[in-house]
Amino acid sequence: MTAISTQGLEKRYRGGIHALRGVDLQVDRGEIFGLIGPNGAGKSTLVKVLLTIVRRTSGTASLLGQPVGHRPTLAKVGFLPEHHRMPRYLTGRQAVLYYARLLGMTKREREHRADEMIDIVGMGHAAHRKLGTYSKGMQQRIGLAQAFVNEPELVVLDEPTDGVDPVGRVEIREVLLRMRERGTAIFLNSHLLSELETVCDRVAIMLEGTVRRQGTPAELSGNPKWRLSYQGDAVAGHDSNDFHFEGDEHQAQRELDLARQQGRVITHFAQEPISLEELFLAEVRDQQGDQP
Amino acid sequence: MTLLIAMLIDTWRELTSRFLFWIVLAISAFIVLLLTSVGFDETGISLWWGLSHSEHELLRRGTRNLDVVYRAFFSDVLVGFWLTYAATFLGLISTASVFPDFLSGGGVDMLLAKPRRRASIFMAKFVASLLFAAVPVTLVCLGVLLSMRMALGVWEFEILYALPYVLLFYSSLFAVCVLVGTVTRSSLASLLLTVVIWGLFLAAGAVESTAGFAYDQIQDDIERVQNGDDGPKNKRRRRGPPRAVQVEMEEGEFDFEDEGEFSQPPLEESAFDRAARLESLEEFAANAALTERIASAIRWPLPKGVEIIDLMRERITPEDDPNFFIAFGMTMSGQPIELAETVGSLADQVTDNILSARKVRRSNRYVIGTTVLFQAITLGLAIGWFSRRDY
Ligand SMILES: Nc1ncnc2c1ncn2[C@@H]1O[C@H](COP(=O)(O)OP(=O)(O)OP(=O)(O)O)[C@@H](O)[C@H]1O
Ligand SMILES: [Mg+2]
Repeated sequence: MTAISTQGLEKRYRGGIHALRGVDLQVDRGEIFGLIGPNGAGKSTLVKVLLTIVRRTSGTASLLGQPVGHRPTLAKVGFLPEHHRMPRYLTGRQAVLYYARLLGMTKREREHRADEMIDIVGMGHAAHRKLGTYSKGMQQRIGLAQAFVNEPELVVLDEPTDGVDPVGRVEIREVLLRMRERGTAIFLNSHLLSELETVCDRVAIMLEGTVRRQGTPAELSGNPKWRLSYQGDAVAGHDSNDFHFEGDEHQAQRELDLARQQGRVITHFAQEPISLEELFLAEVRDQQGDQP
Repeated sequence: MTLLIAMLIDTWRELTSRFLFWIVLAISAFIVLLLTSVGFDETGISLWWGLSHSEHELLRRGTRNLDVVYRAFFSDVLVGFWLTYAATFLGLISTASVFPDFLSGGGVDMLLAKPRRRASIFMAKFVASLLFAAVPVTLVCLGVLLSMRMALGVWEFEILYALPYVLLFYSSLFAVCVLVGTVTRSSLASLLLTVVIWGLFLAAGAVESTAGFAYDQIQDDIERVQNGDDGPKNKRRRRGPPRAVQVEMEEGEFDFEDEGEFSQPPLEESAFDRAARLESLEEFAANAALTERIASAIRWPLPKGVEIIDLMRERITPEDDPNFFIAFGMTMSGQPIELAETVGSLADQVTDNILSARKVRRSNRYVIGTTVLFQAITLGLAIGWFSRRDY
């Protein structure tokens, strides 16, 4: 079952900016999907097209199996836009209830779910204060509570950790994982690549309005990266006694054997975590290479 | 329906978070409070909730003067000035930013992503924003209703007619404000443009009524020249069928003007002069008529603010009653309005002339219909724009 699917999605804004140039994307139900891309790549535009905030120019897209623009489907979707501005004169709880009401939830449901979500995002202590008095991170948390208030089947988050401190980020990550356990599909945009790699099941890299690559972080990274260090001088074939290399498991065995055959004592051998950042930078460099 | 309720609650919270809203409300409440401090009994008037009392022949319970003065105060001052001009202006100032804020990036996104049609979201917000006007108007109407009951001992439910009329007046202006706000997304631009457009509407209305008034005057002059009674001093005739009292008065012995006229022998004038005068008067009349026709054609699609307020006044105070200042002045100088309708109508003519506000006789249906149409088109454009653009 797909949560989001797009084929050849294009958006050309009035004024001629070609923000999406044929986006093909597939997000499954129940997974956390991350979209990375530099500023202006079209990430927010994609999200807005999916949620009918911006009208697409061509291509097809569907949410939860229904074509984009099918209003009742939106009742099963949660959304937190980037730079969102909720009314300052509402308290945190009032804001969550307001959006819940617009989603058509019954009074009992809304009150129960709003209080639950406010607790989950850790805003219980300030729920009765006006949003105008909140810090950015607090507003972001209320924004998240609002996005999850209707127990959505799909949640779309545009830069959810924007303005949130490191502790808050970890907490938000936990919220996301918790929601995934309940079966919610989560689609999120972020610049903070390290965040995505710990939480996302799959990621896509977007550059200049197209999706360049998508898959699990491991799939995208190709060969894993290793680090090997040992006592004594570097053996012939190695530049140093502490170095990184790329390759599959066989390659790794060969490097180990080489060191051990010379009687070296291995002090460290491990697979390095895949860094989305490097992947992403490599992709950007590739693309810049394409157009000198 | 849940959408409208959600918007009503939200807009209510938004308005109550605004300082100006409370100012308008406080002033309205203060006026009503002052009104309730004035009471009347069988002998006269009491002020400050009975703290001071003075006997007055005309301002006591059961007199027509009191009734006229009270109603005229409500329709001419409280509604005619405070609610329709002052409060509307303050209302526009404080609601001009409602739509631009509502449409600001990051705010509207969250609404558009909800399972609601854009047109419904927009209309719900519009209707909810009219609360700003509805709350003070309702407060004043109910307050006056109560204080009239207290002061005069009667329930004057006609007063409640002010509510729909003032709301129609306000909403046609607010529709302009919303259209400009939707297109420009700037509160300052929408406020300034609305005020300018409002001024243009008023100016068009003034041109129409002034031209119409001039036309009537010239027609009278022509008539007089034709009849040969074009003396330098002449009583102005009211438009419409003359009332019996007026006819009486014209023949009556108290009419100093007429007496003066008769005492002055008509000047001899050559037939040639007369024809030349007639010709130039007719040219004037034709110009005035043309101006009036053009102005009223231009005004056809525009909201009829002044006429709406006139309609409301007619609903509340009988047509022949003098306006507040005259009624009050007469009462203070001891003239019973009942017995001096002639004076009242004279006074009316004087104010008519001063304000050059000839009442253009338009049907209710025309005034309300064209205003509602204007509003529907303005809102339609705004909704069209809102529904089609990207946020
Ligand atoms: N409403 C709009 N009208 C015209 N152009 C727009 C609009 N919104 C975005 N754009 C343009 O579309 C392109 C993609 O913008 P978008 O906001 O989708 O990028 P993004 O990937 O979300 O960037 P960021 O990481 O900075 O948020 C940019 O060139 C931007 O200038
Ligand atoms: Mg963005």
